[in-house]
Amino acid sequence: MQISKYVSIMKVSMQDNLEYRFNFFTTFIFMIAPLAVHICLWSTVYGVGVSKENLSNYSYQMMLTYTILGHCLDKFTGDVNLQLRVSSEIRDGVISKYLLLPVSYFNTNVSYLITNRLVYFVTLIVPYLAVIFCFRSQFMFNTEPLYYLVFIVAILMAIFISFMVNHLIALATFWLKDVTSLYVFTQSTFSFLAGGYFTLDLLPAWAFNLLMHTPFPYILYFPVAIYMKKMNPGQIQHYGLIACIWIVILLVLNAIVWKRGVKRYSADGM
Amino acid sequence: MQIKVEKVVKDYKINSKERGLRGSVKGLFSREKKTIRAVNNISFSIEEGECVGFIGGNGAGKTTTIKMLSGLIYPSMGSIDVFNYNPAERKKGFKKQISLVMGNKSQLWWDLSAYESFNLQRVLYDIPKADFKKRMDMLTDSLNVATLIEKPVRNLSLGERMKMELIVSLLYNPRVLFLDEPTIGLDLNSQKNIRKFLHEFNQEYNTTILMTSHYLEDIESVCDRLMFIQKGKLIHDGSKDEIIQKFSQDVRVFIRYKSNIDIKDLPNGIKSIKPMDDGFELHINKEEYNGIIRMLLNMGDIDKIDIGGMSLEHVVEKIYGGE
Repeated sequence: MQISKYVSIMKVSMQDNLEYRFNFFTTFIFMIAPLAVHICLWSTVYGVGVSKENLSNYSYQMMLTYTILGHCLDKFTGDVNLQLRVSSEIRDGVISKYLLLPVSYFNTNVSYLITNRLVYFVTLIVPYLAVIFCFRSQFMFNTEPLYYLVFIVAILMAIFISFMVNHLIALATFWLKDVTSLYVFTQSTFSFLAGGYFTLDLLPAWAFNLLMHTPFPYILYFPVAIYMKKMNPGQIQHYGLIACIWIVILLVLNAIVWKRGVKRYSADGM
Repeated sequence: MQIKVEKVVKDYKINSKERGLRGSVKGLFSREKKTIRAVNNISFSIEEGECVGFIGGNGAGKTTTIKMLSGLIYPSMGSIDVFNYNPAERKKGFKKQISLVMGNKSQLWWDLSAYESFNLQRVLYDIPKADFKKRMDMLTDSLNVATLIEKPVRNLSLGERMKMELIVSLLYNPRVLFLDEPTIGLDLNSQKNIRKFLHEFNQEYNTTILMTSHYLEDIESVCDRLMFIQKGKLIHDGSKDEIIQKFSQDVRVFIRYKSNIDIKDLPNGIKSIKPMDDGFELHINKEEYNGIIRMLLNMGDIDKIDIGGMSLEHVVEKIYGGE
């Protein structure tokens, strides 16, 4: 069975991930610092008396909830190492090994993704719950179970979309040899377009509408907006459909670019 | 016929750049493509169970040939057939029958024990559990690493790791094993162990082996058939003995006298004389061999004399000497 092969890859990569337990704790410390800065920033903005009408009707509570959840999802949905890893595997010829294995490279990377997201989840859930607990008086709790269900589905889609966008960019290494500069640029741009710096609701309507037709908001803004009930069921359906279409487009693009890249790789040997 | 290579050519297109900063700046806008012919019209065929060594300098086209045979790169022209598969299509049935080990690329999980990599290989290649256990035990025993398989790969020495690489690529019982510089960077003892293992493995399991190496000893002790590649061309193809025979009309003699003998006093007719620290290395033509040896023996008391055929190393020096 093909699936069992990928399950085995997952098991091995899970062990590999756990070898670096310490890594997670240190990363977490570094992750929490920007969140603290964000929260302080918004506290100051609301503290000086900016009215919520000027901030797209976001109350302090809403802004705080968005900031904490957005920060958490930014860390959780995006695999920061993926782009660099795939890119260096192409550049250094490590993919040769995969070309000779009876499994596909893309699916192998999906297996890695699933395991390292699981490990991330386990590592991140406690610290972020602690953060939420600290702000429990201001944090907005959603009490409807159905929303949680949709929220979780949206997160899974977010992980996959983020993965495919990064994978696609990494495949550019077949042509560009070095995508490190692209990496720095794309990571910050994508985070911005996904709503990682501030909620996309602050954007003018035309920019918001335009963005919602790109894959980026579905990496972060969309799930958070669902949790915060910023969207009615009709809107969720509408945007959910767009997200699904993007998943298909990105899958096809990844397949095409991979095929052409490997052809080039095989022709030049790099 | 297991492997059949016909008139294969491989061209690489590379960006050529003018020298210096000016060239680099110019290169940003327009690049001239240069074509390099890495493999030039090579044909050969290999039978099941053969053990073939590719010999040639850096950039001769050895690795390119191995990569084409294993399906990693496509030939620009010509055809390759490996058990009725076209390697470049990378069909699953093909992948399960071949194995490629590159001395400078690892197939193991760096942070996990070798056993984890072996076990993953078992699943990926659908090896039945009992077979897997048997093969793993056999391989780890004959390479003497049975006690190391639980150790994280990153803590293994280079030699130990290379042995694990060999095991992981032989677990699924491939019909042909491609080796590219399998002993690169290893100490003499590890080199010897790996050579011995490969030789025995080929004898016992009839696995076809194709290998490249810079170390002639690797090839000499493992392979029976040699292919000399130079500038992308196959210049000689034959058994080891044939090649040595063909290229050595000479006999090599090392001689050391008890008393001091001057180089000028040695008899005429010796093809070449190489003074060593404590004696001379002489190359003598086979036809004049008897007479000259008699003269050498009469010259004084001999401390040590060592007579041998030409080694492969001498032959290679001879073949590539004119480069």
